[in-house]
Amino acid sequence: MIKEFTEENFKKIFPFYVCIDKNLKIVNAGPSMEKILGKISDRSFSDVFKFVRPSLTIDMSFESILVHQDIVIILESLEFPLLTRFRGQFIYQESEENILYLNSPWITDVVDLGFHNLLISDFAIHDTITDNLQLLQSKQIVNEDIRKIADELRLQRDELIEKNKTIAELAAFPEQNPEPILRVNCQGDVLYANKAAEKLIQENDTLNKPFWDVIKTALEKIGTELVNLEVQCGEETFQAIIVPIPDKKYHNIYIKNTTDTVRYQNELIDTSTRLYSLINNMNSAVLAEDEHRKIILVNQMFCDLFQIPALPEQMNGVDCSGAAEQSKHLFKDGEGFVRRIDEVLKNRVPVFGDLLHLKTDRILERDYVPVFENKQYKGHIWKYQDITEIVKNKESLGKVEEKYRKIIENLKLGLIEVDLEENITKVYPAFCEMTGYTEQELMDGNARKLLGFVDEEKTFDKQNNLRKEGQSSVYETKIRTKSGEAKWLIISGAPIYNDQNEVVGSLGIHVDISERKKLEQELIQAKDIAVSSVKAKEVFIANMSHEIRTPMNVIIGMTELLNDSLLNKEQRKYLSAVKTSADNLLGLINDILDFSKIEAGHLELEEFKLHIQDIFENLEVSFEPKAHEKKILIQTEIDPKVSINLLGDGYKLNQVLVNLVNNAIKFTENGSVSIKASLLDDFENEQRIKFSVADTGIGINPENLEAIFQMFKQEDSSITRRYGGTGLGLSISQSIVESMGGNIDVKSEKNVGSEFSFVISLKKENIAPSVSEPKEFMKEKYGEMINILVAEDNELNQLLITSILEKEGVQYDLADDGKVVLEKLNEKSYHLILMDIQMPYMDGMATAKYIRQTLNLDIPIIALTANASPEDEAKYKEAGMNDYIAKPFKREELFTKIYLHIKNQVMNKNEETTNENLNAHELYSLVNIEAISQGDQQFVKTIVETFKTNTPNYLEEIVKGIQNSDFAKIKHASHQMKPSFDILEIEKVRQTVRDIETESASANPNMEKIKQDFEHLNAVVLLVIKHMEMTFNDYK
Amino acid sequence: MYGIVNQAIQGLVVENYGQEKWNEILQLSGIQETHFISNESYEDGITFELVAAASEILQLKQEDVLFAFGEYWILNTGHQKYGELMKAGGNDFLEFMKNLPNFHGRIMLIYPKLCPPEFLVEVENEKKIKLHYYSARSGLTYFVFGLIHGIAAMFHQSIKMELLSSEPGVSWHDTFLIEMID
Repeated sequence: MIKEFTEENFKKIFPFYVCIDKNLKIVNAGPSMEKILGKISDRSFSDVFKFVRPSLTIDMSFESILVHQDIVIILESLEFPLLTRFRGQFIYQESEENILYLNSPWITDVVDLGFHNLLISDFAIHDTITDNLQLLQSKQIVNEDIRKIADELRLQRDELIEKNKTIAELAAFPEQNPEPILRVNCQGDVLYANKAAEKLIQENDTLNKPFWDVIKTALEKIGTELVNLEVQCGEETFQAIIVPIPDKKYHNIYIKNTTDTVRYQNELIDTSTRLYSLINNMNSAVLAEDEHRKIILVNQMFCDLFQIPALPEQMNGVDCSGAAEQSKHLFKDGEGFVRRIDEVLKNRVPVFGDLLHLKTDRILERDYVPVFENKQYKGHIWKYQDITEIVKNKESLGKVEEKYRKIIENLKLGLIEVDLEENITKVYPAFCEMTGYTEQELMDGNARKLLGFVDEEKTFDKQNNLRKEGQSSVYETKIRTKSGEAKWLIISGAPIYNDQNEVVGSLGIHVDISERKKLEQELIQAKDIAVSSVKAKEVFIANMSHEIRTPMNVIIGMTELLNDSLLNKEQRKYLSAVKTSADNLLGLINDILDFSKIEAGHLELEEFKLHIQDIFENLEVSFEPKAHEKKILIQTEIDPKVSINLLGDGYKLNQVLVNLVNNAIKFTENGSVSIKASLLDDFENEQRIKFSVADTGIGINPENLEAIFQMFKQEDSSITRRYGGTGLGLSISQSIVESMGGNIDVKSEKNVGSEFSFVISLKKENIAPSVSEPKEFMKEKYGEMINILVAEDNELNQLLITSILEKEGVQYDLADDGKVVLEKLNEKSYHLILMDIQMPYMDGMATAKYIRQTLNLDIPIIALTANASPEDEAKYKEAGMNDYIAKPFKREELFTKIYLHIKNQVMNKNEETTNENLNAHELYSLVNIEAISQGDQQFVKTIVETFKTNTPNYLEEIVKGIQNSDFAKIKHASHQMKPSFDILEIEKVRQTVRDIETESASANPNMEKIKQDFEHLNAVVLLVIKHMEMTFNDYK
Repeated sequence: MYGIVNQAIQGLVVENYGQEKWNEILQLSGIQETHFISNESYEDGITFELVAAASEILQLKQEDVLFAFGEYWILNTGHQKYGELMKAGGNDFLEFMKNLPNFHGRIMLIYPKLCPPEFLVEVENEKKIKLHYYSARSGLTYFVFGLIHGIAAMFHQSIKMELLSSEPGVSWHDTFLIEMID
């Protein structure tokens, strides 16, 4: 059908053909083939191609190719193996005797087109190679689309998962809300409630009722706008926001417990009010502005200061940007004021203490504080304070400081400051002068190294430690000056503190006391000498008094005893002279001792019952002979209102009066001496009494009135010569009166007379004991009840003391030394010990100490001593002695001391008895006697008198029996007393006297029991006798 | 039209105006599809709706949208997806234009649901051709303008293109005169 293709058409249909001849030489090829492989005509087929398929059955020969017609032949370019393959078939042309290879290039990737530089038009139009390429490309594009969609889907899926999670989280949001959330329908039914709201929907809860009442009321009225409610529920406050959702026909209720918020708000309001009040009342002008310079707060003082005619609260919100300009006229440097404000506002950093001078001469201090909140500027506060007074004070303080600085310099006070290592940090000129160093030398040095002596190291250490502890002190030390000279300084050291209140050093004020030190040394030496002198004097006085007193003791004692014996008139006269001389000598010694005591401040007053009547009587008796001799009249007068029950030191009072009366008589040649006691005041517990001694003597010159009270002074030396005396008497008297709270006053007229007087207060004695005075004490024979141990080695003194004691019936034992004292104490008990100080073996001091410290006895001990100085007295008391009696002593003095120390022991015993008797109706009874007398009163009287006379004799007999251990005597006396005790019915001792009789008659009598019974018997009998005298005076 | 066309419109809008604008266009056009498959056939109306919506959203004339779309189709869609095939279309603008009718003939077989336009090229001389465009669809004249300008741009060839005539009928027939300028 097709006759022939033209070559051109052939090439259009097979643009890739290859024609080979029998020799396998390429005859020609299609244009598109040669576009791929270049010119291949005339080349051997086998040089250009190789068989790919079939590969085994075919070989490069014309015959083999002929056999392989009508099958697919795949060739590959040898030049571009793999890349260039062709698919086609061999067709043999018999007419031409050649073979055509009709093919298309096998292209699977559109990129290969470009590689072979092929266009679509290089292919035959019917060739579908390019269409296939496009299909392949389309598939790739679709695949890409699908992959893209798949990616997007995956992405969306992931997003969806995430979103689901978010939705789930969001859904939990209301549940997690700690505040109640509710959804209710229009009828108020709860559609939803989160956990926090569950409590609120418990309708039975009474606390919730008011809450729901408010909500329901609000729901009834609610429209489309949200409603904000505040509900009080018990003590809690809730805020409820009801949000209507009309299209859903329900309401969301958001509830918040605002109890704390409300409380905080209230507190905030309170705080704000207080703050406002504080600022308003501050003594400073305060202005607070916001970041736009609008006023937030201003106080009255600010308005006043800047002459603003408005109230502070009206200023809120006012723009202050032009305020500086408006106020500058108030300031001396108005432009500077404006400029500084601009600068401060620009910098926005706190500024304190800007000084501003007003035209009124007032000075202001200004502070600026910017306010930042989260680093954001929120405004600022101005504070103006009038510091005019402070500045003025500071200026005047500066002047004062300067003044004192000059004073310090003038005072020559050396000031330095040192650090804790004692390095000098500041020096004042006077210190340089004091030490000889220049300021620089001191500043370069260490205080201790420069100035300290080695032997003062401890002082410096101690002082430095004190400073470190913050303590000030004043001390003395010596320092070494630059020249090596030692100087004594008194240093006042004080710590110096830094701003943190830590001690950083010390300030020392130094005063040169070298001169004073020198004087001090001299004074100490002088004092030592004086002390030695005084000591020597005291020793002298003590020795003198001892040496004189010992013989005096014997002289006076013996004189008294002798006086009690039978003497003829002449003997008595001589004895009187001896006694007078001895008394005078004793008076002199006593004056000296008193003086010594007064000088040493050892004058002590005792207190016991005193009878002014007795004192005055004694004065009369004592001075009567002398007065009689000088024909002077002694008159005494006691105010009847003066109490007879007074307490005081009667002996000291007597001493004063004796002295005054003695002087009065001494200086009176004729006339009288009158002694008076007048009551001035009578108080509940005491009386003020004026004592006076007036004479008609020589009188005293007025100018000498003061001198006569001075020690060792009399009116003038002629007096001494004429009248004698030590000049101590008045001085001692004055001291005694002063110690009693009085003062001796003297009125005198020369040649007319003198009056010495003094006023003292004496206590009243409330309870007057039946026996309270030594004299009475002895008179009442209490001596017989007491037992004294006398420790004395001197035989004469032994004789003297025992004689006195015996005379008063006092029982005693003698001990020659301290050891014997202790032995005696071991054997029996005593009421008191009279203890001589100087004894062999064991002296009085050691014995007293032993009694107190070892035996632990509290028996009263009275020292008997010739050493009667104040120092001695102190030693005796230290050794444990209760009192002392200076030798020589008088009988009365001895008994006074004994009485003072044992009165309680004896009196208590007596009071017991007395009380017992007082509790009984009667001590004794006359019923039996009166019955016998049958009305004969004389008989009764005789019986009573006989009892009164005989019984003491019997008692004395018993005493003697006890003293001599004569039991027969005791038995006899007690036996004799028995009938009278029975007949008088003295019940208290009827048995006692029988006990004494029985005991004394026994084979082995107990002396101690007898003594005890006797004490009781004696006390009762004495009372009976006394009672008889008082009650039955008629019988006397 | 095949999805690849709508993809091209989407690409043009997203690349030049952003995803948001594309979403707006989709919303305005009321088109539900969010993805277009390249070789899946979609109703022509979709493409026209997209063009109309783009015109409104982007405040451009429809002609401008179509022109831009045509140019984008060549320079972006064709270049990206059929780059090597496009190159195989010719070594220069004229050669490519000459092959244009064959190109569309082949496509019809490849994409059986495609109703591709037909082109006829009359070469008046080496610098001037007359292009006949026949299509079952109307209103794509400016798309063709854009396409041809895209092809010229691909070969860096400046051209002057003029619509000589438009003949509505069973097939829309536009005749263009294209001059290649040196």
